[in-house]
Amino acid sequence: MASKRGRRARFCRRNLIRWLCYFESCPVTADETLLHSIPNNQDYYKDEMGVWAVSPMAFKPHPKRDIDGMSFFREDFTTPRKLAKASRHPNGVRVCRLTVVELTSLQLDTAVDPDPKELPGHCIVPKLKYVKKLKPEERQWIKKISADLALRATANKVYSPPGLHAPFPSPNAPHV
Amino acid sequence: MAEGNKLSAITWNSPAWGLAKVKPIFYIPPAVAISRAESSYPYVVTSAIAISTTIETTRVWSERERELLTIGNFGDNWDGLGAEAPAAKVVNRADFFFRLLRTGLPDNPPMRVLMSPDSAIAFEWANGNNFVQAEVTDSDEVEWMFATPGKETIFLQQMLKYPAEVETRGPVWQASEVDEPVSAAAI
Repeated sequence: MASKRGRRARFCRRNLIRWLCYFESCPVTADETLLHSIPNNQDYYKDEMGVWAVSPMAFKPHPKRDIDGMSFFREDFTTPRKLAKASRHPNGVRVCRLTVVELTSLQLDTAVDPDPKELPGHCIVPKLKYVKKLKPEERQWIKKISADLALRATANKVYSPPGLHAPFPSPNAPHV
Repeated sequence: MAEGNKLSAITWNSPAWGLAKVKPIFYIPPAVAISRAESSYPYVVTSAIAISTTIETTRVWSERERELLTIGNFGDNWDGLGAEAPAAKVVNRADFFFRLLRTGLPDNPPMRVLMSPDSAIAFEWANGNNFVQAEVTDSDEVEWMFATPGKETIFLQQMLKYPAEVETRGPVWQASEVDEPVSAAAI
């Protein structure tokens, strides 16, 4: 039965009352915070950019990964530290936080998408799925939303795991 | 550089995004700071500041150029998540656009140059709350985005003529997708 419901939420003060019956298949609620990993690519995060430290590029749908929608993780089920540690990205990742209220204010809905292969609490934003051919207005909408998300992510503080190195050189780039 | 590529078409000093207020990074070397304290000739300090600002700007341009070069050398799976390598066409266009920027806006080097998972190359500037992004893709247009929190995001398309692509005469030989030798007899 529990496998159908998915894994249980983290045992923490916030989840104390509902912990026993709080599973990853439960719908995402408005008071939740979601985590999103930002690959440690060249210039995707730069402190010198101030309130725009996170680049909007970090929120552009990925052609290989975001086919159904952009991936997020619910903070009730995992932590930024665990998410950064579990990343398979060769250069590591930073982790940003966005509240569901912030996503809703941008007309973005969230859908639960438990994946036993991933950390618990996986969910997606279906509107941020990758589409190859976009009309100009759709492309601009994605760019605008990406910029809004990047701005909010920067404001909510980004978690950088200790020892995160500069992304140079790229894993597959020959030496320049 | 092809005719018609004028960056002044983007009215850089438009108050709409306040980039006219970009603050140069003033770095006063210690030796100059001492001379300012001891000397009664303020122009020495002024010229020293101007020189150090120029040096700083040149350094930033060089850094961005190096980043662009790095992007050009990305292979498949450059982001570790399966993204494709940038197309040579996009890299060449970004390189051309970069030179255009350097000529047209020498005092405002981009603050970062980066590649998106869908193989577009973007140049970005930020000044306080204002954000500017120019995105080069495989289309003929560079798309500018001007974003400021609380204000409407502005998009502008700028048509660029890429010299290597427009100054060709006669039929253009397409590169064969199959790596096979071509003989005169076959032609």
